[in-house]
Amino acid sequence: MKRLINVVRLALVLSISLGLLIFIGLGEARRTYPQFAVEKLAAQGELVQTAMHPFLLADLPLNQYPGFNTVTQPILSSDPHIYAIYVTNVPGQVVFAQGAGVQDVGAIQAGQAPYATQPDASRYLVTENDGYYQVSFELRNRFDQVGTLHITLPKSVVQNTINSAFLPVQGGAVIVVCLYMIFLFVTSSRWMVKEEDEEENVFVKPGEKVPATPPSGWQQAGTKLITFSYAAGFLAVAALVIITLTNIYQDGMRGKIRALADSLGYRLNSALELGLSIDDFTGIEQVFDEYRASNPDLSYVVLAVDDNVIIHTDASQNGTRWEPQRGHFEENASLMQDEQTGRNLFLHLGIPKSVIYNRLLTSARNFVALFVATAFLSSLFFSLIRSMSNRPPLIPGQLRKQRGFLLSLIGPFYFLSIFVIHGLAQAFLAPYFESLAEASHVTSGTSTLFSTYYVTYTIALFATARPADKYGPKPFLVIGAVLVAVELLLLGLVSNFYMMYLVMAITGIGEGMLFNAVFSFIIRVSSARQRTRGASIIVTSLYGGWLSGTAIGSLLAADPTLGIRGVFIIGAVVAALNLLYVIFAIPSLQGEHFEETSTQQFDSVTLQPTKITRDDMRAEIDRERKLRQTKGPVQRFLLDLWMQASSSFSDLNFMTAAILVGVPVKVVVAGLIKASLPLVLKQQNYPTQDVGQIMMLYFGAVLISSSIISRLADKGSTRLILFLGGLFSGLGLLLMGLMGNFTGALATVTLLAGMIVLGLAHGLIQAPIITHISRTKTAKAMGQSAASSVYRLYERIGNIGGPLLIGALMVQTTYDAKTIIWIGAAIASFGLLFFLMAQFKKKEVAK
Amino acid sequence: MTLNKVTQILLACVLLGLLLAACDSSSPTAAPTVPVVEVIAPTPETGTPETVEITSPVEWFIPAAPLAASWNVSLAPGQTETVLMEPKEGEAQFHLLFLLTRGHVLYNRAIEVVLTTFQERGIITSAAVVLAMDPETKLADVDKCLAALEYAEANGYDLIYPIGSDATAAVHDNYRGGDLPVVALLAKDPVLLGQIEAYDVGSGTNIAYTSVSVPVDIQMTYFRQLIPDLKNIVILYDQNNTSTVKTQVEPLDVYAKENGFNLIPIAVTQVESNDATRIELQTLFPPIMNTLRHDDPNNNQSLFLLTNSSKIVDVFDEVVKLAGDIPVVSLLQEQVQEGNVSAVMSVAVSFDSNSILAAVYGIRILQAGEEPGSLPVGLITPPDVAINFMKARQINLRIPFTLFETASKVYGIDGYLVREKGQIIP
Repeated sequence: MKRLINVVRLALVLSISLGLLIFIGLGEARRTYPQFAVEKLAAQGELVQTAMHPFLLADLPLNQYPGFNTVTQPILSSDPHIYAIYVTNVPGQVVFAQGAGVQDVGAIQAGQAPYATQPDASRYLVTENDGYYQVSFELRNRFDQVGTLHITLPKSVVQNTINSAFLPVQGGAVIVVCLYMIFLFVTSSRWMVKEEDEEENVFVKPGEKVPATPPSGWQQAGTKLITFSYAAGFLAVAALVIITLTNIYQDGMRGKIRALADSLGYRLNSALELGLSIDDFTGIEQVFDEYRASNPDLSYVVLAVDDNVIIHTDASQNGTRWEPQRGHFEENASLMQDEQTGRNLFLHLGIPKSVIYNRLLTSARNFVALFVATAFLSSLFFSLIRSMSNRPPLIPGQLRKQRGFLLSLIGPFYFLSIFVIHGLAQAFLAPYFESLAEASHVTSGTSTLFSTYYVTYTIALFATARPADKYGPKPFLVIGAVLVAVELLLLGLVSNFYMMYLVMAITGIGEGMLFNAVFSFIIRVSSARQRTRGASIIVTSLYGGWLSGTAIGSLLAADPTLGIRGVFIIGAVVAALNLLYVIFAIPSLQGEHFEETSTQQFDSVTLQPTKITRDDMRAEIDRERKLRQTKGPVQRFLLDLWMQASSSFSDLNFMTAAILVGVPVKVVVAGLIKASLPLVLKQQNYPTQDVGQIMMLYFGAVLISSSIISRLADKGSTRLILFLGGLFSGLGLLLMGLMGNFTGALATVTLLAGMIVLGLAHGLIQAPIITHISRTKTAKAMGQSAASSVYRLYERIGNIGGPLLIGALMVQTTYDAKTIIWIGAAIASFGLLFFLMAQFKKKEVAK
Repeated sequence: MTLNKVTQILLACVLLGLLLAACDSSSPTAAPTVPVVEVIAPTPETGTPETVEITSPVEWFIPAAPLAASWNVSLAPGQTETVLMEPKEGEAQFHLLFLLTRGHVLYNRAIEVVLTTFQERGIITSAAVVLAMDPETKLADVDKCLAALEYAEANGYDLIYPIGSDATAAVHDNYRGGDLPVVALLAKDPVLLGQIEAYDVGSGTNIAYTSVSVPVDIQMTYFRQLIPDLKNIVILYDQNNTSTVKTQVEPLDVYAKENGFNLIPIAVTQVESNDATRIELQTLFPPIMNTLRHDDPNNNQSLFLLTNSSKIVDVFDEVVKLAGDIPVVSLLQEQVQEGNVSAVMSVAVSFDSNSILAAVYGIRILQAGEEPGSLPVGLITPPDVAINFMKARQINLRIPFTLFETASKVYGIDGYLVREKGQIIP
C-alpha cells in the first residue's frame, strides 16, 4: 500500500509538470497560431481592399461600390471560418456585409481593443474582443478616409483548432504518466526505503547524526532512477508538444500563404480579365518586391508561364525552368489565361520553413526554461515526498529527536513562498505597475512601490526578529503566509495604482516575518552540523524559488487566456496551499527543548554563529540601558538604528566594504533587477517569457557562484573577492547596457552575457562580505553579531534607496538601456575604489 | 494689386472659360426659366429606381437629381439671384454659400458633389447659391460678389465656396481676412496666379485654396514612370495662349532646366483655322523628329506633351499622327479616347475630384475646427490617369503595372473603354 501511495505521489509530481508543460504548449499555440490566422485574415481582407481601391480612387461614393458580393463570396466559400466581411462608412454605419455573421455586427464590434501582437501596424489594424479577431483596413479615396473594411474570425475557430490539435498530446501525457507509474511500481524495490532502513534513518539518536542527503548507494541510485524516468517522461511529452506545434504552425502558414497568393493573383487577374497581356506591362517585378516587403515572411514570388519563370523576385532566375524550392512552404495560384497569347500563367509564392522553425525554437527555449524550473520544483517535491513517506511520529516535547525531518519540512515552504512572492511576477511586475501608474496618470510611481516594499520589509525584519525567538517561528510563519496569500489575491483582484502601495507594504511585512520565522526555525532545529544544510536550504529556496517562479510566471503570463492577473490568482492559490501546508505540516516548536539559540547570534547567510565577545556583551548592556532610558517605541527604534549605524562611521574598512560594495549590490538588485530591468527589456521589445528567461540566467548564476564561493570565503582574501565582485558587477552591467547599442542577436547575446556575469559577481559578494565585515575593526569593537546587524542596516538602505535612485535615472532617460552602462561604470569604479582604499589602508597599517 | 496679377487673373479666367467650353459644349443660358424635369435617380442601396422631380426657380442653376431628392430649392425672399437649398430631412448643421460669376452645368455638378460629399459623411447642410454676374457683359460683377459676402455674414452662413477662378479672384481680392472661412472651388493654380506663395503652406488668411491643375513635379513623376529614361519632352502649345504659356510651359521649362532634360517647344501661331494649324504642325514636326531620331534612336527617351490650349486640343489627331512611335501624353483626360487616334496616357484632375477635395476641406474647417489659412493648396494626388492600351501596343510601349492599377480610365487593346472608375465596362 505504501508503495502504491509513493508511486501515486511521484506520478502526481510528473502529472503537475506535464500539465504545466501542456499548458505552456497550449499557451505557445494560443500566442502564435492566432498570429497566423490573423495574417491570413489580413491577406484575405487585402484582397477585398485591392478590389475596392480603383473604385475609391475614382472618388465615387463608397455605398455605390458594385462588386462587394462578387469579391467577398469566393473568399467566404473557400474559408467558411470567416464570420463576416463588412464595410462601415465614416460615421460607423454598415454599408456592405457578407458572411454568416452579418446579423451580429454589433456583437463583433462591441469592445474591440487593439490586438496585443499586431504583425504590421501600417497596413491594417488588428483588434479583438472576447469573441472575435477583427482585421480592419482603411478605405481611402484620394482625399481622406471614406470607410473601413472589416474581416472577422471567431476566436472559437482558432481555439477549437488548437484544442483539437492538443487532444493527442493530452492522451500521450496520460499514457506517459501511466507508464511512469508502472515503471516506478516495478522498480520500487530499487528506490524505496526499506522498513528496517527507515527505522535506522528516521529515529536518530540525540547525538545528531541526521544525514543531509540520502547516504546509502542504493538510495542515490534510486533517486537517479526517479529523476531519469521523470526527465524521460517530461521530454517525451515535450517532443509531442513540439510536433503538435509544428503541425499547427504549418497549417497556419499554409493558410496564410494561400491567402497571399490569392490576393496577389487578384491584382494580376485585374489586368488579364480586361483582355490585356502580361507583356503589356512593365514593373511587375517591382509589384512583387513591394509585396514581399510588406509580407516579410515571403522569400520569393514568381510568375511563370507553364514551367518557365518570367518574373522572379530574384532576377537571376528569370528565364529559368521553374522548380519548387527546397525548404519552403509553397503555394501556387493559377491565373487567368493570357487571352492574347493563350499562355497559362502561374503564380508561385514561397515562405521558408525556417520561419516555422524559428517560432518553434522559441517554443523549445520556453520548454527548456520550464524544464529547469520544474526540475527545481520536482526535486523539492521528490525530497518532500521521500521525507513524508518516511515521516516519523512527531511527539510533542520530543521533536528534538526529529531534527533532520523537521529541517526537510521548511525548505519547500520557503521555496514556494519565494516562488510566489518574487518569482512569479518578477518578469512583469514592474511593467504591470507602470501600466497601472499610466492609467492613473502617475509618473515615476513604480520605483516608489518597490521602495515601499523594502521599507516595510526592513521594519518587519527589525520588529519580528526578537518576537520570533521569543514566541517561536510558527505563528510568524502562519501570519507571513496569510499576508502573502492576501497580497497575491489583492494583486489579482485590484487594479487601482494607489492600492498597490498597500499591497507592497503587506508583501514587505509578510516576507520580513517569513524570513525571520524561517531563519529562526532553521537555527532552532538544526544542529551545528546541519547548519550548512540549513544555509543551503535558505540559499536554494531563495534563488531556486526566484528562478523557478520567474520562468513559470513569465510563461504563464504570456498565455493570452490567463494574463498577468490570472498569474496572481494562481499565485494566491499556491500561497493558500502553502499556508495550509505550514498550518498542518510544520509543527510548533514552542515548548520543545532545543539548544538555547537566538537568531541574533547567527549570520543570516552562512547560518554560522557569530562570536559573542566581552565587548559585545558590554556594548549590548550599554545599548539596552540607553534604550530603556528612551520613551516611546518609535524613538527607541530610531535610537537603536542610530546607535548601530554610528558605531561604524569611524571604521574605513567597514564603511568602504558596505558603501562601495555591499550597498551598490543591493541598489542594483532592488533598483535595477527587480524594479527597472523588466521595463527596460519591455522597451527593447522582449516578450514577457523572454524577460523571465533572461532573469533566470541571473538567478541561476547567483546560485552557482554563491554556492561555490561560500566554501572558499573563509579561506581566501575577502578583499580580493569583493573587489572582483564589484568589478565584474560593473562589467556585467556594462554588457547589459550595450544591448542598447546593438540590434538583433548581438544585443541579446550581450544582454545574456551581462546577466550571467552580473549574477556570478553578485554571488561572489554575498557571503564573503559578511566574512569581511566580521574581520573589521567595528566587529572587533562591537562584536561580529552587532557588526553584521549594522551592515544589514546599510543593505536595507540600499534596498530602499535603490528603486528610487535607479528609478529616477531610468525615468530621466526613458528606460534607455544605455543608462545601465553608466550604472555599470559607477559600480566598477566603486569596486576599484574599494580595492585601492583597502590597499592604502593596508600600507598604512604596515607602516 | 499689381498689373501683372490682374493680367494673370484675367488670363486664368479666359483659360478656365476655354476649359469649360472644351469639357462641355452645353450653354447654361439654354436652360428653361423654370424647368420641370423628371429623372431616374440611382439608388444603389435598394436597387430600386426612384423618380425625382427636379425644379428650379432660376435658369442658371438646375440642381441634379440627388440634390433635388434631398433639398428643397427656392428663391431667397426678395432676391432674384440667390437660390436657397434647405434639407428635406433634419436640421442643417452648417450653412454653405456658393458664389458663382456665371451659370454653368459644371458648376451645378460641383455644387452637387460638394453637398453630397457632406451628406455621405452624415453632415446635414443647407446652402445658398448666389450668381454675381453682370448681365450686360456676362463677366464677374465684383459689387454683387461683395453683396453676396455681406449676405452670407448677415444670415449666419458658415462657409463660402467661390466657384471658378473669377469668383475666387474676386474673393481673394476683396475678402481676404474676412470673418467667414472660404474654400476655393474649380480654381486654377493659385501659386502660379500669385494668390499664395507655395503649395505646401497655408495662406494664413481665411481662404483655403484648391487647384484643378496638376503641379509640374507630380506630372513629371508620372511621365518618368511611363518612360524611366525620359530625356526629351516636346511640348505643344498655342503661342498666343498666354495662360497656357504661363501655367504649363514656363513651369515645365524651369523644371527641365533644374532637372537636366530637354524641353523642346512646338509653339503654333497659325490659329485662324484648324487647317492652318495642321499645316503649321506639318512644317514644325520634321526638324523636331530629326532631332529626336538623332538623340533618341530607339524612341524610348522622349514624349510629346499636349497642353490644353484649345488650338492644340482641336488638332490633336494631327499631333498623334505626326508623333509616330513616340508616346503622346496629354494634360486633358479627354484626349485619351477610343480607337488609336488617342494620346497614350493623360495625367489630369477631374472637376469632380476637385469638388470632393473642396468639400473635404470644408468639413475639416467646419467640423474639425481647422483654420483655412493653415491648409496647404488642395492638390489631387494621384491625379486622374487614363491609358489607351491599343495606342500603347501600336507604339510598342509597355505600361507600368502600378499606373494601370491606379488608372481611372482604361481603353483596352481593341481601343474600347474597358474600365472606368474602377468598374469593368462590359
